[in-house]
Amino acid sequence: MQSSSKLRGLLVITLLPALLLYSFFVIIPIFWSSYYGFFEWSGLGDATFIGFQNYLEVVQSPIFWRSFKNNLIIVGASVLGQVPIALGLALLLRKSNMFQRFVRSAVFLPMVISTVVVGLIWGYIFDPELGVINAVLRSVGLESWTRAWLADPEVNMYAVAVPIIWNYIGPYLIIFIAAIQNIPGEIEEAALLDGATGWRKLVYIILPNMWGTIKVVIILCISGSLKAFDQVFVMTGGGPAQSTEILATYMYNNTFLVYRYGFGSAISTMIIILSLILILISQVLMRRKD
Amino acid sequence: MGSLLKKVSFNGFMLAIGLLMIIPFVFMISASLKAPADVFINPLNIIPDEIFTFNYETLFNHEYYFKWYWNSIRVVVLTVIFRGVFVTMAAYAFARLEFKGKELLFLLLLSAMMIPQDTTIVARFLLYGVMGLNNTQWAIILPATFDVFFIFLLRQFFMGIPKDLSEAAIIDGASHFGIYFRIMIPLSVPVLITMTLFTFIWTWNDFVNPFIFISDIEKQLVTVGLEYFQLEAGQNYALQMAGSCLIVLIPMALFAFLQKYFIEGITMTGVKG
Amino acid sequence: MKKLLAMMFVLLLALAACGGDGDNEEAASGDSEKVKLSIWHNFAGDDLRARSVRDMIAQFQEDNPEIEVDEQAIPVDGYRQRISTVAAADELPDIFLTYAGSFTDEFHKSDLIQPITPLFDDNPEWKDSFLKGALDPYNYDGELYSAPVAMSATSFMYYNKQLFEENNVEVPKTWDEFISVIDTFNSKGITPLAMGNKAPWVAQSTTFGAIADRVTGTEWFMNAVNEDGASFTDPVFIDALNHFKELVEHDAYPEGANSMDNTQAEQYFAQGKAAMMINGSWTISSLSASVSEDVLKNIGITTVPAIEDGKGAGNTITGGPGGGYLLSSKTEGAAKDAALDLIYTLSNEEAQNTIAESNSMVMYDLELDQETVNPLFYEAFNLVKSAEFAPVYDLHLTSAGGEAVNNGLQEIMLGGDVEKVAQDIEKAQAANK
Repeated sequence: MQSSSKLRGLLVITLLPALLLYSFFVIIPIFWSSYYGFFEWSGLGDATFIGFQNYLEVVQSPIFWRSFKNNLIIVGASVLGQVPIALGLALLLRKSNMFQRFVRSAVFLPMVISTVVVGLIWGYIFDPELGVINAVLRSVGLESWTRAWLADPEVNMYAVAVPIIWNYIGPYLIIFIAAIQNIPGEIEEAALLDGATGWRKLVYIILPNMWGTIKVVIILCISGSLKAFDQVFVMTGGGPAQSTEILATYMYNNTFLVYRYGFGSAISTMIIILSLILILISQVLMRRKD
Repeated sequence: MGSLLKKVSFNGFMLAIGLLMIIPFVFMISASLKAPADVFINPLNIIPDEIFTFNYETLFNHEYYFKWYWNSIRVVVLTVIFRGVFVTMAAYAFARLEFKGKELLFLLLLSAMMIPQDTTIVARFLLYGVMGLNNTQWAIILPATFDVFFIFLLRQFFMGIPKDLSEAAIIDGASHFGIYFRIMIPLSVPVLITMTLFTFIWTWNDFVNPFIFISDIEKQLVTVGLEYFQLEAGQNYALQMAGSCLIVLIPMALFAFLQKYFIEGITMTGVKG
Repeated sequence: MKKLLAMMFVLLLALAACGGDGDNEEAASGDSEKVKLSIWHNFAGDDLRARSVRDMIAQFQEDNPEIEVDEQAIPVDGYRQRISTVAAADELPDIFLTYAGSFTDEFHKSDLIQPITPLFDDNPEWKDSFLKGALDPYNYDGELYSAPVAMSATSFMYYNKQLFEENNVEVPKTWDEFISVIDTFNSKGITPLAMGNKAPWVAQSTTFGAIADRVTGTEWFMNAVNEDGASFTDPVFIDALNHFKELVEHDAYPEGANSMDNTQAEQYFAQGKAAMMINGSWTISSLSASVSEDVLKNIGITTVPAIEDGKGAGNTITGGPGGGYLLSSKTEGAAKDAALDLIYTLSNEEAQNTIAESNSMVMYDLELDQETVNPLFYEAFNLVKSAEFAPVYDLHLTSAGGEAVNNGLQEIMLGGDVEKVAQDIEKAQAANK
């Protein structure tokens, strides 16, 4: 069909830019930072090679595993929060009238706001004395439920997860709406003729047709929430007493507050490894259902 | 009657959800109209006793604010364009060209999607130093021109375009470039709009990258610029809120205008894994 | 479609051409005789002091047209990180602001800076006007590397005069009085102490350092820092931590102090929601910029109460010399002369005076004009000139040790175990010395 040299030329033109960017901005930094993980380095002056010590310290650090657990809480909250909410809203917002478009936009809106502002606003909402949540609880007589939401280690990780969920429902909602509109009209009509309406239609027709999309969204959701950093960083900085530390803030704090570049790099490498493992597991689990 | 009631309660419910999502914005606007010291007094006091426009006056007279704003626009537009070109080409190659190791390469690229970018920030800083990118806006633009998620989406979409269409074109003597420009690109306009919107919003709100890689105040982007609004020990939250209100305007307007294409775009790619 | 593509292409070219990054300086530098000088500092805000410092630099540029000053004002929050990152990449500016203590030590250890001793030799009168001990942190083997342009005084006790009067309470002078005052305010439903410890250095820098110095004495702390015959697991340090725990157990702090921002805590105190607040000198400038004169007049200032059975002095204020400008070891020749000039301009008597008049503390012997400065500042400056300094913990500990103290105090505020906190601090300090 086409000569091989011409194909090679085409490949170079189409793929080379992407591959170059990929290696420079993704691959090389990964290897570079895992290499720094073998050094004791304060960022200034000379680095000393110390073998696997940093990596060992990471694996043995209880804070690292606590951070990992906190990351899993965010992943869990995102998957269990964002996906059902987005799916539910998508089922309700299938029409495209003015009103529904307004609600859709409202749900999408949080995405356009910068994280610094997200952090500050939710700081307001969670404030123990002035905050909306405690004010509401007090007004309905649930005084005993009021808390310092971001300071109390028993609840603060869940409190931090709420703005993250809120922040990113929008894009998933849009993906789901698109998927529903993609369900061929004949199927729905056939279902109607069979008398399938309401819940039955939902369970037997709509959801099975969307399973593929739901899977993709779950994967996106997992990888997205593994990357969570900004929100936690601005709301708590990982504190108090490292109770809301997640992997990325743990890495950041060790690198930029404690100036342990080597140790921070070792954490980075571990984060990458853990992320890949998690994604792999979720891929395998979902593939089996096919 | 019953159906009317149902409809009203349904709409009421949806409205409530919409409002719930918007409440934080109300706080933002409200705080931007308060004096710095009043920001923390009572957030529930949504409409300040005295509307304080001083924050906006400060913004409009600020030496750098609109410079930052323009920088952001430029960086975002360049990113969108470069990304558009590189991503569509790569997606085309993965969808339509046959070569050895294609699947493996694609998987390799996909795995990049799972890696939190922030983790390699120090290594990237050193690398950019070598490449002479530090303290230039290219340090923000270039890395962002590559995005696996959209290569993935577009490849899906391109693969969905019936081969007959393009094969007919080849018989007609059209080259791959012809197919790419005359068939693929025109067909994928809504998908490209979707990509544009997402790219726009992500780059627009990017904080960590400009914060680390750009040091000159006049080259800074507007999100990081807000950090310059501070008092001797702490932030000037009221001014930051006012700055944020203006920052949100552009992506909001874009979303409002493009919403229709946007849903169409995602519908077309038929995200199905 | 083609038209659209063509348009995009033109737009792309236009944007790319449009200054790129304004990086064309090198190409345009036809007049190569101009001396180039880069300076980085963190006076990026809109407060009085930040503006005065930027004005001084602008004035210097105007007075010296043959020098091209490239000035970068970087927001405080990211300053240390930015400087460390460029230092790692070996791209330090000619002059940069530093903080006294371990931060500067690192630069010295790595040979990244050079002495500015000649400046002091040429201006002996200036050198002698610095307050006692002001130059010590910048003295390495007899060479001076910087002149402080700030004083960090981190532990004043601010109190609300009206609340004390209304409740018939005396300002506490001793620890026992302090605890009983806390109980009294609590019984009246008034928060005793405001604190915003979201950024966890606050409790350490403002409150704990002063308490610990009163309990352990300064000498013990310096030995512990150097792991020299003293350790953070010593009973005397446990005792210091227990004093802090006592405050927590008496509910001195509002619920959620650990998620409150320092600025927020200052406003909380200014609004009369808390009777007292232990905070640094920066509080004066941020309050005087944000609250009314009446509110300011109602605020009193004193030292943290003495601890009678402690080993340290009872009236110390944690603090000491603050930041100053460092000169990069790579700056040579004409650039070095210009750099020394600029450093002097930013640290000489006139500069110190300007900074003090913007309600910010300096380590320089000045007679303040009571009319021009804010009364609270006047009171505080005189308080400092008469009191002894105690070390600020995180300026002397390693950064890992400092982090351990910060996190440990938060843990204690959450009900954590004092002994375990002490062990963590010792471990972090010993490991990363």
